[in-house]
Amino acid sequence: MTLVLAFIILVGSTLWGVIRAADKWRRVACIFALVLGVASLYTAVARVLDTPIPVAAPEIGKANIDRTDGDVQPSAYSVHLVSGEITPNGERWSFLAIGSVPATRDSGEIVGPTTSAVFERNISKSFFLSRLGIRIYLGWDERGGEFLTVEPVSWSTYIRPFNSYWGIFPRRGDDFAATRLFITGRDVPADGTVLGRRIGSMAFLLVTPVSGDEIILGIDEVFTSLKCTVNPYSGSNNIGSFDEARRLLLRGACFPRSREGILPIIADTGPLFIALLLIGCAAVMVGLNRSLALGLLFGAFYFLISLVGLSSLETDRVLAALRSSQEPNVSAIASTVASPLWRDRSLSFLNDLASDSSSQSRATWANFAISLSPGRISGAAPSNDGEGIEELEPGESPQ
Amino acid sequence: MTGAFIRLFHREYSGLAGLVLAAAAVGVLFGAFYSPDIVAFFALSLAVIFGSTAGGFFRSSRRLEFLLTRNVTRRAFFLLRWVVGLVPVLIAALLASSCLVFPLSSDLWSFFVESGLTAATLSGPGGWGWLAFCVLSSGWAYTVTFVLVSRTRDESELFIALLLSVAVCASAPAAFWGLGALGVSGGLFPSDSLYSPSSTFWISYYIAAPLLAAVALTVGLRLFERTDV
Repeated sequence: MTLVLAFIILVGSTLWGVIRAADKWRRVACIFALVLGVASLYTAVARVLDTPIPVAAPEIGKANIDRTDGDVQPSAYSVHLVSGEITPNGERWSFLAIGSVPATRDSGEIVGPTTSAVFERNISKSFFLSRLGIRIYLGWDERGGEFLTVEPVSWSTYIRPFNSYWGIFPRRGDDFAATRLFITGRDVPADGTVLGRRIGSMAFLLVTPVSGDEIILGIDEVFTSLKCTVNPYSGSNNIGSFDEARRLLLRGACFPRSREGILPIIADTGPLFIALLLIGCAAVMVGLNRSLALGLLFGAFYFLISLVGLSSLETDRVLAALRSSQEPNVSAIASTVASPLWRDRSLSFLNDLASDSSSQSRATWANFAISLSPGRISGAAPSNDGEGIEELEPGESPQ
Repeated sequence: MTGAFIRLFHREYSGLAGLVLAAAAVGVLFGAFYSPDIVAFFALSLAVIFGSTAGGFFRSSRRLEFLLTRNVTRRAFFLLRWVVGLVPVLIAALLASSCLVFPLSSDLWSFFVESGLTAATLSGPGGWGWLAFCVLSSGWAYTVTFVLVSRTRDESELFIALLLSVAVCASAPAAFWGLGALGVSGGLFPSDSLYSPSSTFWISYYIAAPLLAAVALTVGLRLFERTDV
């Protein structure tokens, strides 16, 4: 409806200019504006309809992972950084081996605090992750308690310094421990999309005992093939499954919320669409050249109404892609949840998906997405979802 | 005579007036008037622009012919020109500042979208206070600029008059602010009344601004009697 209204404004104003033109050059200019304006609107619509919506399965990287032998005392722990990203092109997971940490606790080499160690807390190793702009410190304190400290080294909107104290190193008999480092997300203008696309990233550390026996696994297989250390504390940063990691990635992509207001939405609009809509806006102004004020007003209205129509078309395509894919499409879900203009439509769609019994996986993801929608209270932290695990208060020791 | 004057000024002003009103309407469409400082800046800017345009009596053949062929008093010429210029300034300032109180932009876009195209408004008396501040200050700024610019036809003096008008425009609220600060330090007003646009202290400014404008206009009229038109 809005695109039809935009078309009527464009054609009506330029035809008005043709009819009311004082001389033949103005008439020619108005005809030229009509052709150019209609072509720009057609190009914008065609571009929305042609841009592919990412529906492919997540791209998952593989890495050499150490396999533990429960009876052997590890001499060191190897540390992998696992990062997940939602980009306009889909979901991607990658591994990065960042080093190893000597197992000083297991070998009984922990010493009492010295003047410097009081502050350094017997840090066994620090890693600088330049791509993420953070420095992490791993180790054990003088009482043998493990800790992880994360410090951003540059300005960041979301990554803050924090400590984690449990489940950073795998327990005896476990294959690995996974600890969340951060989740983050924001809107970015994308060439092929009308409104800004939501991108997000999350990263966690994967710590495995070095044993010399390595196997190649993808990140999803790590959680299913190997035994993960489970942390019973509520609000911990541990990750227990690949689905938990993906949910954290989605949570990061949807937080913080899109900025409200017309100007921020225009700032996130794709540059190509801005250019095409400005051509149409100029055509309207040429058509109404007898009054600059009227041309300005109708040109601005045409610009915004076309933006609304194109974003509606785009949202419909994303929802259709989400409906047709059997597997959870985290990238499309993030776009749906973060949709700034069509929240009711998106929420209604997610409710339909949640009540659809044909695909349990999609329904579960839809329920999770609904919990992230604006105005909804987010669900409990995924790390509390472990079944049969008794929650402990700080100070109590895990079994 | 009044009708003839208005027709003459309308021919001169209609382009700029339409542009100013369109700018205000486009600002409403884009939700640009979401904060009081933006609205105040817009209202005062257009007051200075319009005041200098209305006050700058350029010598056109049409106007000279009009003045020479009719029995026109300077007073009528001055006052009618001031009124005709003031109307679009007040309408545009009112349109822009009403966005602080009424969700004009959000209400319009709610016909087309479900969310997102919204602009925040100020709730309650604070919004009305800012509305009064923007509209009445724009009237005061327009009058001061009109009076100062109308005194001269010389380009260099016009430039100085424009600079002076910006300074004098700011002088009324700044003087009130200074008086208020003195009053607060002397215990005459509670300190929060200085920071609330709907306090009795600022309401007295809203009453004083038109009175100050009337005084400026009276002084301007006397000065205009001696100006070479």
